Amino acid sequence: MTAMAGHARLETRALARSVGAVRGPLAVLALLAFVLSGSLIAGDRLVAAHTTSAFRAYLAAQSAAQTDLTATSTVSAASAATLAEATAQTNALVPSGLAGAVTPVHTAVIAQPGTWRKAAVIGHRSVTWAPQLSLASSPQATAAARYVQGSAPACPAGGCTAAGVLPIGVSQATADQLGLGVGTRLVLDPPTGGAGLTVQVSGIFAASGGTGAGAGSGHAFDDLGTLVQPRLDEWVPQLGPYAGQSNMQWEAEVLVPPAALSVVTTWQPAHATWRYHLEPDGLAGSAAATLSAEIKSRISSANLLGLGAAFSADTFSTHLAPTLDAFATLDASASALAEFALAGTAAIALAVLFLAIRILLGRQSTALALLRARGASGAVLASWIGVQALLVCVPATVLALLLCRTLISSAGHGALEWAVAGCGALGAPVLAASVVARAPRVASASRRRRGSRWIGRGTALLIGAVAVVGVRMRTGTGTGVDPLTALLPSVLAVDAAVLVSMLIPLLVRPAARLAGRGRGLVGYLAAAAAARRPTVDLVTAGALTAAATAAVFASCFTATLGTARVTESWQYVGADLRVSSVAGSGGALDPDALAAVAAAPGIAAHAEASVFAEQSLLVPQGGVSVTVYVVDPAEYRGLIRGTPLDTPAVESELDALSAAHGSAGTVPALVSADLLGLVQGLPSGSGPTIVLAENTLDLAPLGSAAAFPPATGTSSYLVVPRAGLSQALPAFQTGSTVAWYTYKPGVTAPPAAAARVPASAVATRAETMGGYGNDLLSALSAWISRAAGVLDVLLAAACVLLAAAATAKARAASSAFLLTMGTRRRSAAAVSVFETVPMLLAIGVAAVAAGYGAAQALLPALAAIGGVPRPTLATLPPGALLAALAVPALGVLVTTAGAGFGREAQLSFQRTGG
Amino acid sequence: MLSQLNRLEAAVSGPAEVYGGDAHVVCDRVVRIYQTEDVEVQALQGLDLLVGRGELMAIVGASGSGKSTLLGILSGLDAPTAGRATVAGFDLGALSKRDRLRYRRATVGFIWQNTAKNLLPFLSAADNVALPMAFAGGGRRARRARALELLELLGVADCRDRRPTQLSGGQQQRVAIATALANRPEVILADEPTGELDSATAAQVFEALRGANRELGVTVLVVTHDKAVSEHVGRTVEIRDGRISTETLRAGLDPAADADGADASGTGTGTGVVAEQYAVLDRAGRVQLPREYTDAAGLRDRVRLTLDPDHVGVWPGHTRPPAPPAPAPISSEDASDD
Repeated sequence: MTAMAGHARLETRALARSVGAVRGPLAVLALLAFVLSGSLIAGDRLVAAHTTSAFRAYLAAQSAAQTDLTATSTVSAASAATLAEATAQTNALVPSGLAGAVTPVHTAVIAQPGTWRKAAVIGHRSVTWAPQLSLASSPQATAAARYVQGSAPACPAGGCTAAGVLPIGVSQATADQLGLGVGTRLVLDPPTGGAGLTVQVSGIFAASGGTGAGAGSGHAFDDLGTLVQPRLDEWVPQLGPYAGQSNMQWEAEVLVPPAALSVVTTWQPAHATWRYHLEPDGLAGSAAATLSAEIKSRISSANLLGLGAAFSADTFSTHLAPTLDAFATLDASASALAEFALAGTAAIALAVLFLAIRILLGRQSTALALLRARGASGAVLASWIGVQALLVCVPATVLALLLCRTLISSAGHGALEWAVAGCGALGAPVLAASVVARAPRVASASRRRRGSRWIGRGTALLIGAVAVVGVRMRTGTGTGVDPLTALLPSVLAVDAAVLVSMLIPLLVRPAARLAGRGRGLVGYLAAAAAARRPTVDLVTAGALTAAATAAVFASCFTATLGTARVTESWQYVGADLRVSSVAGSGGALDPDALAAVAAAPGIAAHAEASVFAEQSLLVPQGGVSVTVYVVDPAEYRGLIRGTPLDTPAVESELDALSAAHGSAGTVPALVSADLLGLVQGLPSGSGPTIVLAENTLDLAPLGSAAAFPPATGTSSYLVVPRAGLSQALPAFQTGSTVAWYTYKPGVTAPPAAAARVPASAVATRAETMGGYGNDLLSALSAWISRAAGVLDVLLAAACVLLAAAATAKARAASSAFLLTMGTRRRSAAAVSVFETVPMLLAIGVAAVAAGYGAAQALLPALAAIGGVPRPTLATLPPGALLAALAVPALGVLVTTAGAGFGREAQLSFQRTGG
Repeated sequence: MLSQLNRLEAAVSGPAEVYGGDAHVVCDRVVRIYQTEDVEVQALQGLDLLVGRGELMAIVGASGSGKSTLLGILSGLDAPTAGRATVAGFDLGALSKRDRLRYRRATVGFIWQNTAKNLLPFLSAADNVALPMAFAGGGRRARRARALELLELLGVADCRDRRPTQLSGGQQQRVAIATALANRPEVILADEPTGELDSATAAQVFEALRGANRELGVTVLVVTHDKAVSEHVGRTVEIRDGRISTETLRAGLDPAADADGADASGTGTGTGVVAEQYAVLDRAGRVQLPREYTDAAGLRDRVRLTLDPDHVGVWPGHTRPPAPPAPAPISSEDASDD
């Protein structure tokens, strides 16, 4: 025995040549790596872009008061240098996440405006009594001001003093209203008494680049806008007209030079404001949560700004953090929905990857067997295959990464991007290598293999069952999607594949026996082949099942959300249109106006109700506050017929209500479930009574109205028939407080008459749906779902093609054999098709069951996501059935028309002399 | 050859308790059972075989008799379900993964029938030969030199830079032999190496195997249907129903073979080679009788055995033997179980 020393080596040259021999499967693998990593990276970047866009739009829609950061302080006798130093300190408080996204606007305005000593200034259209002017210093406003007359105020060479004349700049509007011109000198008296301050207009300014106040200016010039426009324009009626002109109280700000700040703040204290105006264009949506945390941290650490002796009552505040939190919550919900959608995509991708690797290894099975026989260890073979895959996957992934980074400028999640790139480049090679590295089964006992196969199947089914139970038992876990919920469709797809592999032989073998008794050779051969020699093996069947399941699940998931959204809108509005009395108005709606709405051409049905909130239900145990709905059961039934609100339970309740009659002092009623125990079984003479609008009536309970739609969300209520109430209390007039209307088909907008109902609020289902559909959450999740859907289609198609390629050889051999036996070409083709039909049909059925089951099982997790409807039952749309059938049907077509009975079969036939 | 057989028999009956003694290849009641779905196939049913070091031996048998299964086990690609198989000291049923790898690298070389299956299509002949040495860990220069040496030895040195598709079938098989010899194995296993070749090419390939056996001292086991091969080796064993059925020893082929063996079956080749076919009595006392014998003697179902001083007689069950009857008749079922 010669023990060979040294380490096994991988021949680089041999490896390089082997790549050429399997260039087809490697090209598929490269394409797969490119598509998977590219789509995920691009998807992430596009989602990030979409999120950022939504984030900026969301912030832009908020008022500046909600988004700006503000530090304020009272400043006394502070010089410009002191203020600059304080400004530097407040600048440092701005969170780093907002760097570049805020525009600082700093102002110092005296706390109380000075009163112009010269009274009754006559302006253009009015008389201004004792105009008040606030002295203000703002570097940003000074920089943005464009002087149309004179020049910017500047202290003389000796500096500004309280005893001298202080130069000021006034806006064009102020100058026009007050009749000021360059050189006008006036004296301002402080509000608290004391020495006045003489000021002189040195220049009249307008907003830079604009013709009017704030025109053409951005947020940075908000404060200039304040300066340009008078801050207070108040009519003072008690003063009466003067010289035939109306009178007004006028207050405006005027600019003082920064160097005069110490004089001004010594004259009287000023309010210093450091406002950081948010420019959302500089923010990324993915940073919302981080930014919120940083802002909260800064605010908590900036309670005392410590700006110096000249400053007091410092504050640093913003409403941005709650705004960011609200967005982050919406974003998390959208992400959760997206993860549900992408989980199925991941399952298909994995199936496709398995098939691609299987083909890669299948094409090299002879070479691998030879190498193994020649002494190649598992490590050598794994390196061989792994490096082959690496050689194509790494460049493909790098190319995808570069393309994504080049074409989509938005930055995604950096870590996720690199993780995806790493998985794309290394996933397939590692997976392929690990399969090859496994030692071949030498001398393994067949029974043991069969046993382990059963154990594997049982384990897979058990995992599926445990996963379903686990997911169903969890409620209210927040907005996140954990791995278990995300993987549930995939787990159930595996279970479906296992069941298919177990059940198909049991189902097909009897069919084969039956076919064997008949005369049809094609049926017999196809059934026998399906029963004994499945050309669609477990791996291929598993991949197809996973793909079909993912497609069904995605379809069910989307449909479930859509249906829930529609149902929710019906429950919220009660019909297509609801006109209700405005809260607080207390009165009934105008019957004529309601009748005009009902008579509108687009209205199909309508119903009215009187709703009495907070009425007293008296039972022996005490009083209960209830809401009373007085309805006409027949009318209401006509309203909801054919809508999602029309359920057998509601019909039954309305029937009971219609059949009930009242009597003097006794009104029949259905009660909510929580009241049923209180009102039933009471002894005669101590039955329940209701105090309705100060009328006491005995109550004749008819049963429970657990599903009365208008009462959705109301805890304790009674439903009383209008006729029954009239019989019980003939003198009681009940006007309608709410009216519902359903539209005729094709009508989407409410009639104009609805808006003319006095003291009413109008709600439409279309608005509810539209509002939901347009909000951030829905738009983002829908966008991601669409992207996932496109990926699903692409990957499912790839899965089918690869499955066809994987089974092509066996099917071609089968067909060729039948041809050599003298079978007609058409018959051979038919056998080739029919033998796969049972398995593929079973895949479709299993996929529907698994996909719908996963959607149903995930309802609690879906309900836990904030902001989405809460369906109680998953929806199985026709599209899901189509998807379940399309994948296998496409498989039949492709395998038959393409590889299964194509050129290869012909060649085999010719080779065998046919 | 007879002396070799005697030596092996001596090894069996010698004082050593281990069956096979110092035989190079030992199969001791080897059983291999395959199970596919619900069907269980017994490919080898307690096969006994001893092969001496440096022997060139052919294994013949009908399709499904277990020849390739045996070779699969001896090559280390498969393992027995029961029984013991040892090659060059390696117990093939108890090899660890590492030892099995070492065994495949350095102890055995394998040649398949399918010429395309023996060589990697994307490598040149020299690279194919050098590849097993790379797995075993050798220097590049040494590998190259050894590959060229082997190609030279097998007469295909001029093909060293050609790819397998550029070689004829015979050339491919000779390169395959060179590849199998690359790591200086002690045993070469060839599964119908001439099956896809014409007779002239098959002769060349067989001569290459014989040359390797002769010049390198390698033990060679060839599974073949080719009479041109099986009739030109010193020893041919036939496998029937998973057991060794007969052995044919030929004198005049191998200088080491004895020429004094009796012509038990009278199958002299007439070319100076004396072939003797033996039925094989296995360790359980079972023997398979050739069908022509049983047909000629009318032996079916139950037979009678008679024990004479120098032989055992087999008589049809319905015939009373001339000598005193055997102590007890043996049922045909027992016999056919063999």
